[in-house]
Amino acid sequence: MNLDDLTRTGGEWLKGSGPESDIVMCSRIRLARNLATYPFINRASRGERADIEREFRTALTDANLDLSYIDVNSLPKLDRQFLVERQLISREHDNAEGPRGVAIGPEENVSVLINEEDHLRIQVMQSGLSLPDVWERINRLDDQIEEQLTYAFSPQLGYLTACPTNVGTGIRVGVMLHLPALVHTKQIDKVFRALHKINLAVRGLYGEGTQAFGDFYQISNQQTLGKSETELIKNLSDVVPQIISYERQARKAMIEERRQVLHDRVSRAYGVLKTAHTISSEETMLLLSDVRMGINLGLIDDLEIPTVNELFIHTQPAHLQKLQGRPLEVDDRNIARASYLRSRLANGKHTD
Amino acid sequence: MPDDPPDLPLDTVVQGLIVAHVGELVGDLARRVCPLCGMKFMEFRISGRLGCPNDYLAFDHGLLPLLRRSHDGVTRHVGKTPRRLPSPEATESLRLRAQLRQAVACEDYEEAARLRDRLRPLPKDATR
Repeated sequence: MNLDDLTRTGGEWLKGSGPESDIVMCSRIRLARNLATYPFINRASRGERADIEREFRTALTDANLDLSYIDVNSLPKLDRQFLVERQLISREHDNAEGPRGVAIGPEENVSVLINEEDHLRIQVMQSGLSLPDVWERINRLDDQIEEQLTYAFSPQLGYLTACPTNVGTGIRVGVMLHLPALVHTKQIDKVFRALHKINLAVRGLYGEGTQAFGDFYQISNQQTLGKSETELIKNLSDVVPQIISYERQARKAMIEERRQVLHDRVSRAYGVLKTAHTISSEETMLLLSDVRMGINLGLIDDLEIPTVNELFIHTQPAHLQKLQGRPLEVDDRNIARASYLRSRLANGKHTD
Repeated sequence: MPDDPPDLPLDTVVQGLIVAHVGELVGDLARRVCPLCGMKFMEFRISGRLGCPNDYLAFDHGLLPLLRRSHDGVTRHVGKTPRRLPSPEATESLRLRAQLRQAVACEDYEEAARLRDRLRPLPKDATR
Protein backbone atom coordinates (compact mmCIF):
# COMPACT_ATOMS: atom_id res chain seq x y z
CA MET A 1 0.00 0.00 0.00
CA ASN A 2 1.26 3.45 -0.93
CA LEU A 3 0.67 5.92 1.90
CA ASP A 4 0.70 8.84 -0.52
CA ASP A 5 -2.53 7.50 -2.02
CA LEU A 6 -4.19 8.00 1.37
CA THR A 7 -2.94 11.56 1.77
CA ARG A 8 -5.57 13.27 -0.33
CA THR A 9 -8.49 11.15 0.85
CA GLY A 10 -10.31 10.79 4.14
CA GLY A 11 -11.45 7.63 5.90
CA GLU A 12 -15.12 6.58 5.80
CA TRP A 13 -15.41 7.53 9.47
CA LEU A 14 -14.96 11.21 8.51
CA LYS A 15 -17.87 11.14 6.04
CA GLY A 16 -20.24 12.67 8.56
CA SER A 17 -22.96 10.17 7.67
CA GLY A 18 -24.88 7.75 9.87
CA PRO A 19 -27.19 8.37 12.84
CA GLU A 20 -26.56 11.43 15.08
CA SER A 21 -23.50 12.34 13.02
CA ASP A 22 -23.76 16.04 13.96
CA ILE A 23 -22.55 14.99 17.43
CA VAL A 24 -21.24 11.42 17.02
CA MET A 25 -18.20 11.59 14.75
CA CYS A 26 -17.74 7.80 14.74
CA SER A 27 -18.29 4.49 16.53
CA ARG A 28 -15.36 2.21 17.15
CA ILE A 29 -14.74 -1.25 18.60
CA ARG A 30 -11.43 -2.97 19.15
CA LEU A 31 -10.63 -6.54 20.21
CA ALA A 32 -7.38 -7.69 21.88
CA ARG A 33 -6.10 -11.20 21.05
CA ASN A 34 -2.92 -13.18 21.75
CA LEU A 35 -1.51 -16.41 20.36
CA ALA A 36 -1.53 -19.31 22.85
CA THR A 37 1.99 -20.50 22.05
CA TYR A 38 3.97 -17.26 22.45
CA PRO A 39 4.81 -15.05 25.43
CA PHE A 40 3.16 -11.61 25.50
CA ILE A 41 4.97 -8.84 23.64
CA ASN A 42 7.01 -7.43 26.54
CA ARG A 43 8.55 -10.88 27.16
CA ALA A 44 8.94 -11.88 23.50
CA SER A 45 12.36 -11.78 21.86
CA ARG A 46 12.86 -9.99 18.57
CA GLY A 47 12.85 -13.35 16.81
CA GLU A 48 9.56 -14.32 18.46
CA ARG A 49 7.99 -11.01 17.47
CA ALA A 50 9.07 -11.66 13.89
CA ASP A 51 7.49 -15.16 14.10
CA ILE A 52 4.25 -13.70 15.53
CA GLU A 53 4.12 -11.14 12.73
CA ARG A 54 4.68 -13.91 10.16
CA GLU A 55 1.95 -16.12 11.65
CA PHE A 56 -0.61 -13.31 11.51
CA ARG A 57 0.39 -12.22 8.01
CA THR A 58 -0.11 -15.80 6.82
CA ALA A 59 -3.44 -16.01 8.65
CA LEU A 60 -4.68 -12.75 7.12
CA THR A 61 -3.67 -13.94 3.65
CA ASP A 62 -5.24 -17.40 4.14
CA ALA A 63 -8.45 -15.83 5.41
CA ASN A 64 -8.71 -13.99 2.07
CA LEU A 65 -9.40 -10.64 3.68
CA ASP A 66 -9.39 -7.44 1.67
CA LEU A 67 -6.60 -5.81 3.68
CA SER A 68 -3.36 -4.07 2.70
CA TYR A 69 -0.39 -4.77 4.93
CA ILE A 70 2.06 -2.08 6.04
CA ASP A 71 5.35 -3.03 7.70
CA VAL A 72 5.34 -0.37 10.44
CA ASN A 73 8.85 -1.26 11.58
CA SER A 74 10.36 -0.10 8.30
CA LEU A 75 8.30 3.11 8.03
CA PRO A 76 9.95 6.49 8.61
CA LYS A 77 8.78 8.40 11.70
CA LEU A 78 6.73 10.85 9.60
CA ASP A 79 4.71 8.04 8.00
CA ARG A 80 4.06 6.41 11.36
CA GLN A 81 2.86 9.75 12.73
CA PHE A 82 0.64 10.08 9.65
CA LEU A 83 -1.02 6.73 10.48
CA VAL A 84 -1.54 7.86 14.09
CA GLU A 85 -3.23 11.06 12.91
CA ARG A 86 -5.58 8.99 10.75
CA GLN A 87 -6.42 6.78 13.78
CA LEU A 88 -5.08 3.70 11.97
CA ILE A 89 -2.35 2.93 14.50
CA SER A 90 -1.91 3.95 18.15
CA ARG A 91 0.81 6.16 19.58
CA GLU A 92 2.13 3.10 21.40
CA HIS A 93 2.46 1.25 18.07
CA ASP A 94 4.24 4.25 16.53
CA ASN A 95 6.73 4.49 19.41
CA ALA A 96 7.36 0.73 19.79
CA GLU A 97 10.40 -1.04 18.36
CA GLY A 98 10.92 -4.26 16.46
CA PRO A 99 8.81 -6.29 14.03
CA ARG A 100 5.26 -4.93 13.87
CA GLY A 101 2.68 -3.94 11.31
CA VAL A 102 -0.84 -2.92 10.44
CA ALA A 103 -3.31 -4.29 7.89
CA ILE A 104 -5.77 -1.69 6.62
CA GLY A 105 -9.11 -2.27 4.95
CA PRO A 106 -10.67 -0.31 2.10
CA GLU A 107 -12.18 3.03 3.20
CA GLU A 108 -9.99 2.75 6.32
CA ASN A 109 -12.82 1.26 8.38
CA VAL A 110 -10.69 -1.68 9.47
CA SER A 111 -7.19 -1.73 10.92
CA VAL A 112 -5.51 -4.83 12.31
CA LEU A 113 -2.44 -4.11 14.46
CA ILE A 114 0.18 -6.79 14.92
CA ASN A 115 2.57 -6.66 17.90
CA GLU A 116 1.07 -3.70 19.67
CA GLU A 117 0.47 -4.16 23.43
CA ASP A 118 -1.12 -7.50 22.50
CA HIS A 119 -0.16 -9.75 19.60
CA LEU A 120 -3.28 -8.65 17.74
CA ARG A 121 -5.56 -5.65 18.01
CA ILE A 122 -8.49 -5.57 15.60
CA GLN A 123 -10.23 -2.22 15.16
CA VAL A 124 -13.35 -1.34 13.19
CA MET A 125 -14.66 2.23 12.87
CA GLN A 126 -17.74 3.66 11.21
CA SER A 127 -19.12 7.19 11.00
CA GLY A 128 -22.12 8.07 13.16
CA LEU A 129 -23.68 6.13 16.04
CA SER A 130 -23.67 2.55 14.76
CA LEU A 131 -22.21 0.24 17.41
CA PRO A 132 -24.33 -2.87 16.58
CA ASP A 133 -23.20 -2.68 12.91
CA VAL A 134 -19.60 -2.25 13.97
CA TRP A 135 -19.87 -5.23 16.34
CA GLU A 136 -21.35 -7.43 13.63
CA ARG A 137 -18.50 -6.52 11.34
CA ILE A 138 -15.66 -6.95 13.84
CA ASN A 139 -17.12 -10.19 15.23
CA ARG A 140 -17.15 -11.70 11.73
CA LEU A 141 -13.61 -10.50 11.07
CA ASP A 142 -12.46 -11.96 14.41
CA ASP A 143 -14.05 -15.32 13.44
CA GLN A 144 -12.31 -15.30 10.05
CA ILE A 145 -8.87 -14.63 11.54
CA GLU A 146 -9.43 -17.08 14.41
CA GLU A 147 -10.09 -19.96 11.99
CA GLN A 148 -6.38 -19.92 11.18
CA LEU A 149 -4.94 -19.68 14.71
CA THR A 150 -5.26 -20.65 18.38
CA TYR A 151 -5.67 -17.82 20.86
CA ALA A 152 -4.69 -17.70 24.54
CA PHE A 153 -8.05 -18.31 26.23
CA SER A 154 -9.26 -19.70 29.55
CA PRO A 155 -12.86 -20.73 30.20
CA GLN A 156 -12.76 -18.84 33.53
CA LEU A 157 -11.07 -15.61 32.40
CA GLY A 158 -11.80 -15.51 28.66
CA TYR A 159 -9.27 -14.07 26.19
CA LEU A 160 -5.97 -13.60 28.03
CA THR A 161 -4.33 -10.23 27.45
CA ALA A 162 -1.00 -8.61 28.35
CA CYS A 163 -2.78 -6.15 30.65
CA PRO A 164 -5.39 -7.61 33.05
CA THR A 165 -7.62 -4.57 32.47
CA ASN A 166 -8.46 -6.02 29.02
CA VAL A 167 -8.93 -9.69 29.97
CA GLY A 168 -12.21 -11.51 29.25
CA THR A 169 -13.80 -10.11 26.12
CA GLY A 170 -10.73 -8.01 25.23
CA ILE A 171 -13.23 -5.47 23.91
CA ARG A 172 -13.11 -1.69 23.95
CA VAL A 173 -16.33 -0.11 22.71
CA GLY A 174 -16.12 3.60 22.04
CA VAL A 175 -17.83 6.55 20.44
CA MET A 176 -16.16 9.80 19.48
CA LEU A 177 -18.38 12.76 20.40
CA HIS A 178 -18.20 16.42 19.44
CA LEU A 179 -19.37 18.34 22.52
CA PRO A 180 -18.58 22.05 21.99
CA ALA A 181 -21.71 23.41 23.71
CA LEU A 182 -21.13 21.35 26.87
CA VAL A 183 -17.55 22.65 26.90
CA HIS A 184 -18.61 26.30 26.33
CA THR A 185 -21.28 26.16 29.03
CA LYS A 186 -18.82 24.46 31.43
CA GLN A 187 -21.11 21.48 32.00
CA ILE A 188 -18.65 18.98 30.55
CA ASP A 189 -16.96 18.11 33.86
CA LYS A 190 -20.31 17.23 35.38
CA VAL A 191 -20.97 14.83 32.50
CA PHE A 192 -17.52 13.25 32.89
CA ARG A 193 -17.96 12.73 36.61
CA ALA A 194 -21.27 10.96 35.96
CA LEU A 195 -19.61 8.74 33.33
CA HIS A 196 -16.75 7.79 35.67
CA LYS A 197 -19.30 6.76 38.28
CA ILE A 198 -20.77 4.19 35.89
CA ASN A 199 -17.33 2.87 34.97
CA LEU A 200 -16.96 4.56 31.57
CA ALA A 201 -13.72 6.21 30.50
CA VAL A 202 -13.34 9.58 28.77
CA ARG A 203 -10.31 10.21 26.56
CA GLY A 204 -9.13 12.68 23.96
CA LEU A 205 -9.16 12.12 20.20
CA TYR A 206 -5.90 10.15 20.15
CA GLY A 207 -6.57 7.75 23.01
CA GLU A 208 -5.17 7.22 26.45
CA GLY A 209 -3.60 10.18 28.16
CA THR A 210 -4.10 12.60 25.29
CA GLN A 211 -5.83 15.94 25.68
CA ALA A 212 -9.20 16.23 24.06
CA PHE A 213 -8.86 18.63 21.17
CA GLY A 214 -11.39 20.41 19.06
CA ASP A 215 -13.95 19.49 21.75
CA PHE A 216 -13.83 15.83 20.66
CA TYR A 217 -14.07 13.17 23.35
CA GLN A 218 -14.04 9.39 23.23
CA ILE A 219 -16.32 7.61 25.67
CA SER A 220 -15.58 3.90 26.20
CA ASN A 221 -16.09 0.95 28.55
CA GLN A 222 -13.48 0.06 31.19
CA GLN A 223 -14.91 -3.27 32.28
CA THR A 224 -14.08 -6.16 29.93
CA LEU A 225 -14.70 -9.20 32.17
CA GLY A 226 -17.98 -10.55 33.55
CA LYS A 227 -20.23 -9.01 30.90
CA SER A 228 -20.77 -10.19 27.34
CA GLU A 229 -19.74 -8.12 24.33
CA THR A 230 -23.37 -7.29 23.54
CA GLU A 231 -24.07 -6.24 27.16
CA LEU A 232 -21.05 -3.93 27.14
CA ILE A 233 -22.19 -2.46 23.81
CA LYS A 234 -25.69 -1.97 25.19
CA ASN A 235 -24.34 -0.24 28.33
CA LEU A 236 -22.61 2.34 26.17
CA SER A 237 -25.45 2.58 23.65
CA ASP A 238 -27.86 3.39 26.51
CA VAL A 239 -25.72 6.25 27.82
CA VAL A 240 -24.70 7.96 24.56
CA PRO A 241 -28.20 9.26 23.66
CA GLN A 242 -28.35 11.01 27.05
CA ILE A 243 -25.06 12.80 26.39
CA ILE A 244 -26.31 13.71 22.90
CA SER A 245 -29.47 15.15 24.40
CA TYR A 246 -27.48 17.25 26.95
CA GLU A 247 -25.33 18.60 24.11
CA ARG A 248 -28.44 19.43 22.05
CA GLN A 249 -30.07 21.19 25.03
CA ALA A 250 -26.92 23.22 25.62
CA ARG A 251 -26.79 24.19 21.92
CA LYS A 252 -30.48 25.13 21.94
CA ALA A 253 -30.04 27.29 25.04
CA MET A 254 -27.03 29.04 23.51
CA ILE A 255 -28.87 29.83 20.30
CA GLU A 256 -32.06 30.95 22.02
CA GLU A 257 -30.43 33.08 24.68
CA ARG A 258 -27.37 34.46 22.89
CA ARG A 259 -27.92 33.98 19.19
CA GLN A 260 -25.98 37.09 18.08
CA VAL A 261 -23.04 36.29 20.35
CA LEU A 262 -22.91 32.71 19.11
CA HIS A 263 -23.33 33.71 15.46
CA ASP A 264 -20.55 36.26 15.86
CA ARG A 265 -18.23 33.70 17.40
CA VAL A 266 -18.88 31.13 14.67
CA SER A 267 -18.50 33.68 11.86
CA ARG A 268 -15.25 35.04 13.29
CA ALA A 269 -13.87 31.49 13.57
CA TYR A 270 -14.80 30.85 9.94
CA GLY A 271 -13.33 34.21 8.91
CA VAL A 272 -9.98 33.54 10.58
CA LEU A 273 -9.70 30.07 9.03
CA LYS A 274 -10.44 31.49 5.56
CA THR A 275 -7.99 34.39 5.78
CA ALA A 276 -5.14 33.62 8.20
CA HIS A 277 -1.59 33.45 6.86
CA THR A 278 -0.07 31.55 9.75
CA ILE A 279 -1.99 29.42 12.25
CA SER A 280 -1.11 26.84 14.90
CA SER A 281 -2.62 23.37 15.12
CA GLU A 282 -4.30 24.23 18.46
CA GLU A 283 -5.98 27.37 17.15
CA THR A 284 -7.11 25.50 14.04
CA MET A 285 -8.80 22.82 16.17
CA LEU A 286 -10.59 25.39 18.33
CA LEU A 287 -11.85 27.35 15.34
CA LEU A 288 -12.85 24.27 13.32
CA SER A 289 -14.84 23.11 16.35
CA ASP A 290 -16.81 26.39 16.37
CA VAL A 291 -17.33 26.18 12.60
CA ARG A 292 -18.51 22.57 12.86
CA MET A 293 -21.11 23.54 15.46
CA GLY A 294 -22.06 26.58 13.36
CA ILE A 295 -22.85 24.38 10.35
CA ASN A 296 -24.94 22.03 12.50
CA LEU A 297 -26.91 24.98 13.89
CA GLY A 298 -27.53 26.46 10.44
CA LEU A 299 -25.34 29.51 11.09
CA ILE A 300 -23.00 28.60 8.21
CA ASP A 301 -24.64 27.32 5.06
CA ASP A 302 -21.89 27.22 2.46
CA LEU A 303 -19.65 24.52 3.95
CA GLU A 304 -20.18 20.80 4.46
CA ILE A 305 -19.49 18.68 7.54
CA PRO A 306 -17.27 16.08 5.75
CA THR A 307 -14.95 18.91 4.67
CA VAL A 308 -14.63 20.15 8.24
CA ASN A 309 -14.12 16.61 9.60
CA GLU A 310 -11.38 16.06 7.06
CA LEU A 311 -9.71 19.39 7.89
CA PHE A 312 -9.35 18.29 11.52
CA ILE A 313 -7.12 15.46 10.29
CA HIS A 314 -5.46 17.03 7.24
CA THR A 315 -4.18 20.06 9.20
CA GLN A 316 -2.27 17.80 11.64
CA PRO A 317 1.55 18.10 11.41
CA ALA A 318 2.36 14.84 9.58
CA HIS A 319 -0.52 15.28 7.12
CA LEU A 320 0.61 18.80 6.22
CA GLN A 321 4.14 17.57 5.59
CA LYS A 322 2.90 14.68 3.44
CA LEU A 323 0.65 17.05 1.49
CA GLN A 324 3.56 19.43 0.94
CA GLY A 325 5.84 16.53 0.12
CA ARG A 326 8.65 17.67 2.41
CA PRO A 327 9.54 18.00 6.12
CA LEU A 328 8.58 21.36 7.68
CA GLU A 329 9.55 23.07 10.94
CA VAL A 330 6.83 24.52 13.19
CA ASP A 331 6.84 28.05 11.72
CA ASP A 332 6.72 26.74 8.16
CA ARG A 333 3.99 24.29 9.12
CA ASN A 334 1.87 27.15 10.49
CA ILE A 335 2.24 29.00 7.20
CA ALA A 336 1.52 25.85 5.17
CA ARG A 337 -1.52 25.10 7.36
CA ALA A 338 -2.98 28.57 6.81
CA SER A 339 -2.36 28.33 3.09
CA TYR A 340 -4.00 24.89 2.93
CA LEU A 341 -7.03 26.12 4.90
CA ARG A 342 -7.41 29.17 2.62
CA SER A 343 -7.35 26.97 -0.47
CA ARG A 344 -9.81 24.41 0.94
CA LEU A 345 -12.20 27.10 2.18
CA ALA A 346 -11.90 29.46 -0.80
CA ASN A 347 -15.20 31.11 -1.76
CA GLY A 348 -16.77 29.28 1.16
CA LYS A 349 -17.22 26.20 -0.99
CA HIS A 350 -15.94 22.69 -0.58
CA THR A 351 -12.97 22.56 -2.92
CA ASP A 352 -10.58 19.68 -3.38
CA MET B 1 30.12 4.92 63.13
CA PRO B 2 27.42 2.83 61.41
CA ASP B 3 28.35 0.35 58.70
CA ASP B 4 27.96 1.42 55.10
CA PRO B 5 24.70 0.16 53.65
CA PRO B 6 25.15 -3.05 51.68
CA ASP B 7 25.62 -2.49 47.97
CA LEU B 8 22.30 -3.82 46.64
CA PRO B 9 20.66 -3.13 43.31
CA LEU B 10 17.81 -0.61 43.63
CA ASP B 11 15.01 -3.01 42.70
CA THR B 12 16.14 -5.45 45.42
CA VAL B 13 15.98 -2.60 47.93
CA VAL B 14 12.52 -1.56 46.68
CA GLN B 15 11.24 -5.13 46.82
CA GLY B 16 12.63 -5.52 50.35
CA LEU B 17 10.86 -2.33 51.44
CA ILE B 18 7.57 -3.45 49.91
CA VAL B 19 7.81 -6.86 51.59
CA ALA B 20 8.69 -5.20 54.91
CA HIS B 21 5.86 -2.68 54.78
CA VAL B 22 3.02 -4.49 53.03
CA GLY B 23 3.27 -7.85 54.76
CA GLU B 24 3.87 -11.49 54.26
CA LEU B 25 1.20 -12.30 51.69
CA VAL B 26 2.51 -9.63 49.39
CA GLY B 27 6.01 -10.87 50.23
CA ASP B 28 5.10 -14.38 49.07
CA LEU B 29 3.47 -12.99 45.99
CA ALA B 30 6.32 -10.64 45.31
CA ARG B 31 8.70 -13.59 45.07
CA ARG B 32 6.39 -15.64 42.89
CA VAL B 33 7.81 -16.37 39.44
CA CYS B 34 6.02 -17.77 36.39
CA PRO B 35 7.82 -21.04 35.59
CA LEU B 36 7.08 -20.59 31.86
CA CYS B 37 8.23 -17.03 31.15
CA GLY B 38 10.29 -16.12 34.23
CA MET B 39 8.17 -13.03 35.00
CA LYS B 40 8.09 -12.09 38.71
CA PHE B 41 4.83 -10.82 40.22
CA MET B 42 6.71 -7.76 41.44
CA GLU B 43 7.85 -7.00 37.87
CA PHE B 44 4.24 -7.13 36.75
CA ARG B 45 3.21 -4.75 39.56
CA ILE B 46 5.82 -2.27 38.38
CA SER B 47 5.16 -2.51 34.61
CA GLY B 48 1.44 -3.38 34.61
CA ARG B 49 2.03 -5.93 31.82
CA LEU B 50 2.09 -9.72 32.15
CA GLY B 51 4.74 -11.90 30.51
CA CYS B 52 2.72 -14.82 29.12
CA PRO B 53 -0.76 -16.41 29.27
CA ASN B 54 0.38 -18.73 32.07
CA ASP B 55 0.92 -15.71 34.39
CA TYR B 56 -2.84 -15.71 34.99
CA LEU B 57 -2.37 -19.11 36.70
CA ALA B 58 1.01 -18.40 38.29
CA PHE B 59 -0.19 -15.12 39.88
CA ASP B 60 -3.84 -16.04 40.46
CA HIS B 61 -3.91 -14.93 44.13
CA GLY B 62 -2.36 -11.59 43.32
CA LEU B 63 -4.44 -10.98 40.20
CA LEU B 64 -7.90 -11.78 41.55
CA PRO B 65 -8.22 -8.65 43.71
CA LEU B 66 -6.95 -6.55 40.80
CA LEU B 67 -9.44 -8.14 38.41
CA ARG B 68 -12.30 -7.50 40.86
CA ARG B 69 -11.30 -3.86 41.12
CA SER B 70 -11.05 -3.39 37.33
CA HIS B 71 -14.14 -5.36 36.38
CA ASP B 72 -16.90 -4.35 38.79
CA GLY B 73 -16.28 -7.22 41.21
CA VAL B 74 -16.72 -9.96 38.61
CA THR B 75 -14.03 -12.50 37.72
CA ARG B 76 -15.84 -14.89 35.39
CA HIS B 77 -15.87 -14.52 31.61
CA VAL B 78 -19.33 -14.65 30.02
CA GLY B 79 -18.61 -13.45 26.48
CA LYS B 80 -17.44 -14.97 23.23
CA THR B 81 -15.60 -18.31 23.17
CA PRO B 82 -13.22 -19.15 20.33
CA ARG B 83 -14.01 -22.27 18.33
CA ARG B 84 -10.53 -23.61 19.00
CA LEU B 85 -9.20 -23.83 22.57
CA PRO B 86 -5.50 -24.04 23.42
CA SER B 87 -4.29 -27.59 24.02
CA PRO B 88 -1.78 -28.64 26.74
CA GLU B 89 0.90 -28.55 24.03
CA ALA B 90 0.53 -24.76 24.00
CA THR B 91 1.91 -24.67 27.56
CA GLU B 92 4.79 -26.93 26.54
CA SER B 93 5.49 -24.59 23.66
CA LEU B 94 5.68 -21.60 26.05
CA ARG B 95 8.10 -23.57 28.24
CA LEU B 96 10.37 -24.47 25.32
CA ARG B 97 10.35 -20.88 24.09
CA ALA B 98 11.44 -19.64 27.55
CA GLN B 99 14.29 -22.20 27.55
CA LEU B 100 15.24 -21.08 24.06
CA ARG B 101 15.40 -17.40 25.09
CA GLN B 102 17.54 -18.45 28.06
CA ALA B 103 19.88 -20.52 25.86
CA VAL B 104 20.30 -17.64 23.40
CA ALA B 105 20.98 -15.23 26.29
CA CYS B 106 23.71 -17.62 27.57
CA GLU B 107 25.06 -18.01 24.01
CA ASP B 108 24.47 -21.76 24.25
CA TYR B 109 23.73 -22.12 20.55
CA GLU B 110 23.85 -25.91 20.52
CA GLU B 111 21.04 -26.05 23.08
CA ALA B 112 19.22 -23.27 21.22
CA ALA B 113 19.32 -25.28 17.99
CA ARG B 114 18.04 -28.38 19.78
CA LEU B 115 15.13 -26.39 21.31
CA ARG B 116 14.31 -24.81 17.96
CA ASP B 117 14.01 -28.27 16.43
CA ARG B 118 11.66 -29.34 19.21
CA LEU B 119 9.57 -26.19 18.79
CA ARG B 120 9.16 -26.39 15.06
CA PRO B 121 6.42 -29.03 14.81
CA LEU B 122 4.71 -27.96 18.04
CA PRO B 123 2.69 -24.90 17.06
CA LYS B 124 0.95 -26.89 14.35
CA ASP B 125 0.21 -29.82 16.71
CA ALA B 126 -1.06 -27.39 19.29
CA THR B 127 -3.43 -25.76 16.89
CA ARG B 128 -4.95 -28.83 15.29
